[in-house]
Amino acid sequence: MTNNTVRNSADILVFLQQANGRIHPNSLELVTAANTLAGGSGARVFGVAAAETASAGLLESLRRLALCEVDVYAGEQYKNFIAESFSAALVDCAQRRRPGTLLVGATPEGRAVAPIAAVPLKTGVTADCTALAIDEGGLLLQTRPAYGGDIMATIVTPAARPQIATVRQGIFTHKPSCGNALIHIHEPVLPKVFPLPRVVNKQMEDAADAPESGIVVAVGGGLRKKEDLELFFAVNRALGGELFCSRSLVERGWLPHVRQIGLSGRSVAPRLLVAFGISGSVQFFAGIQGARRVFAVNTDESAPLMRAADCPIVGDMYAVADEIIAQTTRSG
Amino acid sequence: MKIAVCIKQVPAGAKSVMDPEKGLLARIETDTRLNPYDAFAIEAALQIAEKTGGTLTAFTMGPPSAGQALREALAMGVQAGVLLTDRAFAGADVAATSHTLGCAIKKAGGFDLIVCGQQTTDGDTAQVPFALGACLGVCALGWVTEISEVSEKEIFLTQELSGGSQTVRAALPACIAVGKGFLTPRLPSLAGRLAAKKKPLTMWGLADMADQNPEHYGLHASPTRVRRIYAAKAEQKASPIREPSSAVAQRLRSAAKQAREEGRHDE
Amino acid sequence: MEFIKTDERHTQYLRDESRMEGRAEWIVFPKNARELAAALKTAAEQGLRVTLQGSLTGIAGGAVPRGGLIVNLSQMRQVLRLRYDGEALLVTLEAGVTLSQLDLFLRSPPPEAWDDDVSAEQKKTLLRQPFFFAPGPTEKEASFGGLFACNAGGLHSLAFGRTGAQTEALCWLTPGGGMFRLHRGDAVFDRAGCNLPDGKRIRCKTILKNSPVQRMIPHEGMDLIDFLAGSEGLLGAAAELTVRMLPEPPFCWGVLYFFCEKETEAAFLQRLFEWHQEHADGMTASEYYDGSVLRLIEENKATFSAVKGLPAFPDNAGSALYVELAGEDEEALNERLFAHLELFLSSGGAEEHTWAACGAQEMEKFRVLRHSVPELVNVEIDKKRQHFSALTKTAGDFSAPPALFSKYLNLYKQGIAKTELPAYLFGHVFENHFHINFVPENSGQMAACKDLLTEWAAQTVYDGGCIAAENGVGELKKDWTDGFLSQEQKEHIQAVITAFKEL
Repeated sequence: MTNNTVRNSADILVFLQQANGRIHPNSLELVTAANTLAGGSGARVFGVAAAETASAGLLESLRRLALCEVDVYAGEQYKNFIAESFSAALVDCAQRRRPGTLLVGATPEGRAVAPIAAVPLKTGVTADCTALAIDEGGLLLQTRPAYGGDIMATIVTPAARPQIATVRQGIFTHKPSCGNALIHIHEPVLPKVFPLPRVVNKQMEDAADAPESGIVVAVGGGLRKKEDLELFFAVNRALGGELFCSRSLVERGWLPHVRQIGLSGRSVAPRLLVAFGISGSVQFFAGIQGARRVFAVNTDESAPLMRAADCPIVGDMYAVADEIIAQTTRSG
Repeated sequence: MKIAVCIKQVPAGAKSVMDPEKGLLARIETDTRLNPYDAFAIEAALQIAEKTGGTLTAFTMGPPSAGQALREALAMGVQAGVLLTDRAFAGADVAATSHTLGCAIKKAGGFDLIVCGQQTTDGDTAQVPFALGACLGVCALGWVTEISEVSEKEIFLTQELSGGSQTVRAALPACIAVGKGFLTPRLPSLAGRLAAKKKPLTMWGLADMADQNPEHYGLHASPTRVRRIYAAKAEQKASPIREPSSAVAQRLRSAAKQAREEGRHDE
Repeated sequence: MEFIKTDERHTQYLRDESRMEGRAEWIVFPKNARELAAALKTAAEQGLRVTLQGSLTGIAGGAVPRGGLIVNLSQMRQVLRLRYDGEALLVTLEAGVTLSQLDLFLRSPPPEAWDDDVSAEQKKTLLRQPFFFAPGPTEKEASFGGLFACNAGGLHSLAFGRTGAQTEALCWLTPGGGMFRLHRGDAVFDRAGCNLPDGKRIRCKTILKNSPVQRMIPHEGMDLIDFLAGSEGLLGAAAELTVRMLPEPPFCWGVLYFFCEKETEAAFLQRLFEWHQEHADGMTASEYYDGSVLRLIEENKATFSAVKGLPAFPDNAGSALYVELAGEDEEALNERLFAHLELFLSSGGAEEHTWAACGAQEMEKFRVLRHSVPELVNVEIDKKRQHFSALTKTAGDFSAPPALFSKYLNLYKQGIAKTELPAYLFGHVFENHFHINFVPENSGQMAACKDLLTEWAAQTVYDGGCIAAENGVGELKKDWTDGFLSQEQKEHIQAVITAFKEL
């Protein structure tokens, strides 16, 4: 099922999610990623954004990006997030620019906009890619975990264009640059769906609040005595997290049950989990399914948690803890 | 009020047998379950139906054994189940799946609301509800965490986005996708389950569709293809790091700093 | 293999889940049967008291050392061999292997693990088929050595018996470090002892009747493996075991029945029990939860992820029964379920007070619920220990003739009501094997609870039951259970222990 007879270029289009004139970090990372993919091939990288107003601040931020050109759709309908409005703008841009590849950040907004846009574009989306590459034939290789992470799949979009991939924040890093993108302002595009939903109320989180589920520091059976908990409370403060433990410490009576992670305790889904001296029983794993990144410090490298961690560190939890405190104190 | 719920049967555990050539999943029938997110969708739909006096039809696409997922839904209280099964439908990616589901919903006709679970545990891409809405020409509202009001004409719901949530009023018909956790799915009673086992399911194949061109379904209609599948290293996710404690401490402090910063930005 | 002098690094090895704490001077981690034998031999020569440990998940303090040497088997965690006897998968493993390690292993066993007799065809079929350790013990982190030492039961003991019953072979080490290998049927007790396959003989008295403490006095006709199961380290230890794993039946159901009226509970339990006796059907589990257990679960939903996703229990649910059925014939199974539902409704039960799950995946919710009960009770005990540090597990683990289950259920309920203390009553109802956990707040209350437990134990002994049925006697109940043994019985037990020491 191909969408047209005119071959799409090798150009890459990046969807730039913005709110209040600020571009989402996920989108910034994809600009860098797009440039890497374009490499020395001569493919151009474009951006597309939709905003209530094409404010000076927004335009200035867009101009600085490492992009050839940016299409900005400006209008009342982009004040709040209604997926169909943003998709319509995206589709319009993609139909004009005919990029070979479209990258969208896998934020809640991006994960709605991309699949909706894919339908009129008669193409497909590979979501939550963990790696992207271009093969010798110029195809975008889209890699992602499948079936709960047991299996990795590399997916391609052989014929349909653009090849659309969504990528989560943190997969790529943003390299700030000083570009000189050419900005084009466009009229808003009317979506085909009517009537559109209306936002009646918004509850935005106060940016200053550290979200509850940010960082978890967990201690386990490797802890030698109850008094040593003080050290790890200090480590927890230094890292800015919440302290939890595995079942062993609750069994020993060193911490109350409310601090326990596991099937018979709490489930946590932090962006970062740092585990000290936890071997990782099946029931512990049940409580950390939602953790984004897991760092584990243990002397036993074959412990189940070490095998499953994103970053297993073979080491003595006490020595590492002391260093964390020392470094934090030094830096004031 | 007529409500459609789209559900999927997914592999239960690690036992999925890959056909490395076709890149397709051969399902082992004993090892499947109703997509856990769909239980929340069914519950949400049931509660809406109870409030508005509506009826529910569950739709699923898959091999004949996917009827099991429909019986799950029937046992919970859904009135009717439609199984879309045909070899022509197999190997479908999101685009082809949404198209097929969309055709079936149009054929059954007259739905005011379509409810889906936000994502599945196999594939996990959370795309189908959005693509389905687009196929049906209705608005798609995802990441729903609360439904405050619903009537035959409109729905008030709250959805979670980067940096917060918003309450939205949408005219029906619409397609919504619900996440886990804002409701507790009911557990079917014994009588409910036994009755569901006996209820006939509607089965539709290619020949029942308005569009009978096989090129428009399944693998043929999938813009994306799996080029390669490989087992993620089950043994060890990452190589163990061995460095002096001072380097480890630096690494952890840096990771923490990054996590805190990620938290401050819109998510 | 190093004999390590214990220091502060080893405090985790001084306790198990009984919340008792011990002491030991030495600890050793043998890596295989040979090293285990050497450790035991050395200890015997040095006159060191030995405490064997598996995964430290026991709740009777069996792994809590009282000085001497700890022999911890956690390094003996190899699965050695897989065979198939046409019905069951026979797994030979080292005693330190846990259930969860075995489950993980069986997902993709290395080719060399298979016995030569197993054909490629068979291997393919076997790998696609889920197998389970039939008794279905709650604690997945328990080691097989530990399960055998307590002769642990589980969710499915109703249909499949306990660990001992599913053990086909052993590599057994005597307290002095002697080793013998044994298959079921090789060694059976006669009137005056038992011949071992290597020619040696255990000389001891045998009796014709069960003792109130599990199997420390053999009876004539008893297989040595069954005798060793549940001996809690007194007669040595298994270094390796061959256990049977059965194929998961193709169809299974789990149903929770909630009782809002006492009469409904009494009538339904009685009718269902009789039906079960008559039909010898596929009922594989019968678990009872009283009201205090249901309330405990409700109270902890927020902090206990295992039970968080469950809907609220019906209002006024005073107790509940969880039943599992399994079989090859789907239709027949459905008929049984209809029959059960009829019995429930005619006993005054309400249709909407049933929760039903079909298939292992759905049933997982209910199994997790069941598993959470002992954990939740432990949490309550821990909470109380904050204020009352001498509190230990004060629980009954009694099994009596199944036909008397309702007499015992009433006995326990009346006793609990009398003490007016928090107590959690649950258990394998149709096996008449209940767990009653008290959570006293001071030593006076703890003593009152112990008295009540003693009363119940006496009743159990009188009816020919067993007073430490599956959790073991350990250190926690040693003195108490001694009180129920006659002098003659104690001498018999001592004779057996001595006989094993001399092997």
